[in-house]
Amino acid sequence: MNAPFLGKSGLVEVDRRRRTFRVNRAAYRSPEVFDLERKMIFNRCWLYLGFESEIEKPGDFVRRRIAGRELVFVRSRKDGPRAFYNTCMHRGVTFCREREGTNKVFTCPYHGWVFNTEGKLVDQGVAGGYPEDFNIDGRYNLMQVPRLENYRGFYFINFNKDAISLESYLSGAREIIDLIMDQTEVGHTLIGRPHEYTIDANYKYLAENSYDGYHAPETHRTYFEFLADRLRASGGDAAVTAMMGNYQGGGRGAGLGMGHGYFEAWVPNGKPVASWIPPWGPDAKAEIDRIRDRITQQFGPERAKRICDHQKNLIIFPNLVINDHVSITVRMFQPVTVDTMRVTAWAMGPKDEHPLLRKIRLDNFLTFLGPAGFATPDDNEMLELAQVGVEHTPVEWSDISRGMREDGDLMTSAGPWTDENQMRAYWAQWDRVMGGAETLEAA
Amino acid sequence: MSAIPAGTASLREEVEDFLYYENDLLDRWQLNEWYALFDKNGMYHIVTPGLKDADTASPDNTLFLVSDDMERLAQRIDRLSKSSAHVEFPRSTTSHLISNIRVSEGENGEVVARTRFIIHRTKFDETVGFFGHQIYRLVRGGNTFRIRDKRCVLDFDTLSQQGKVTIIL
Repeated sequence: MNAPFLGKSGLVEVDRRRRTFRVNRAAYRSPEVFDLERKMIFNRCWLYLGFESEIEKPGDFVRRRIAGRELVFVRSRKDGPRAFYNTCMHRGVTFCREREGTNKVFTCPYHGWVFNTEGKLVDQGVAGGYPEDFNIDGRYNLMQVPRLENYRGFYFINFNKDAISLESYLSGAREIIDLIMDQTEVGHTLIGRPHEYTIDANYKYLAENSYDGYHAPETHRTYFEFLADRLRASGGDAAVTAMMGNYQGGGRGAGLGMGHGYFEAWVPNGKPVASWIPPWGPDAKAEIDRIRDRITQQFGPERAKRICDHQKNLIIFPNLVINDHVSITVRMFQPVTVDTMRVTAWAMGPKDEHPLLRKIRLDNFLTFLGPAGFATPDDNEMLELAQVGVEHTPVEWSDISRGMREDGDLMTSAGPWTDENQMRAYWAQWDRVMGGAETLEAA
Repeated sequence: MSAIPAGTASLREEVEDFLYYENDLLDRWQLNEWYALFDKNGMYHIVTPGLKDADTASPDNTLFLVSDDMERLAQRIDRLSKSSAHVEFPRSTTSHLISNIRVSEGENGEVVARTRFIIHRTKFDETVGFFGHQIYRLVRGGNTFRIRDKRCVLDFDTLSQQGKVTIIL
């Protein structure tokens, strides 16, 4: 029982006796593994597509590339959101070329086939040439992605028509999404243009990095120095000590089932919803107090504390981050090749947010998070250095053992946020799905 | 920008000299000297690529890449001076080119300069390019200028080629 064993994929090694958890570096560097992931993971898991506020009105659409496939996410004029493959049913042309917009119909620029927002073929350009019953069985209507479901406004697709429901798939992650969405009664919106960038590293490195409480003091040394300066100015040395103490076991990390995971900790640098710090001034305090009172009344003091005073870093397996810090960040990362990913990072906040709090939110987002901020670029540098390291050396294994115990379910183990339980939960699920032990299909 | 006001040629030359000096400081990584070129209420902005109305958009209500007041800019420079700013360690090599400089009189005695720029950054044998246009709002200070606002607009859609913006543009 306690002997080390390789998982179903052959690429994850668990040794309970030595309390080690290792991932074979082929998982980061092998094109064959990457191809298999497309089939086993990206064709079976629920994948984030977009947020409800992006297609608020009938006819609103966004173009999106998910797992290498061109899609159009549109609010149909008759019956709500749809996800279509962005390919004309005639000869294949990527008919939608705009990034976003509002349409009555989609017209293919090649021969002029016209589809309405329900995907129905309604015109074929030059008159004549086809029998009347040409599309009687609907075979020339736009093809929809087999499954499209949403949880609290987050829309996901699944390329497998037999997949379990999104709600089942999200498992324990739903609770964390609830905490984030309960910040507002009127709903959240995505603010402005997202940050879009490439990282030259395997996508799973970003999953690991996004809820890694262990790396922060070293990778983000300069950010903490910056933060300490700001906190010292308003709260004195005590504020700095409290912040740094947070990094010595103040937070909790855990697997949430189905490969999802998160960490949660007290947030030292404030949140517009709803934890005030002195540098934001008295006007912000009045507004934040008002929001906090409402949340406390609605959810009680315990839950209000989690909503208002805690930061959460959540990973939805396999490629979505939802972080709730000073701003909410929705960060989708798409594998492009085995050693390249495309990142799209949106700032999210309440639709009815006071302009002052919106300014604070955005200001703090770009300070830490952006590809020109004080922290994210150093993360990206680490991921790229890791990729170079695994590709150009024969070393076989990487280690994800911090906080590993002799027993417990890897999918749901918890510990200090500086431990790696949440990553092991990801890899345990990756192993099961890659190895075919978990098909994510309804029984 | 419409008609060219009288006296613009000499004003443009003055502005050009100033901006060439400014960009030279950046390529030499003399960031404290560069910082000193700013007005005490100065701002440094980089707009998120692809944003509509990039020339006039406000970081108060939409997401920028960089929006630094003088305090934040000092912190950015302080950070870049440390070897623990990993992404710029070892420090990258840059080459700032600016061109197409046009000047006009702005509000409150300000001089507005529009430029086009091409900046290359090289690190670990890899070179990426940043290009676009800049809008400077300058104020007279003695026999030189002070930067009240430097807004960089990247004229491409995403950072798919560059990945990140860790140098000063």
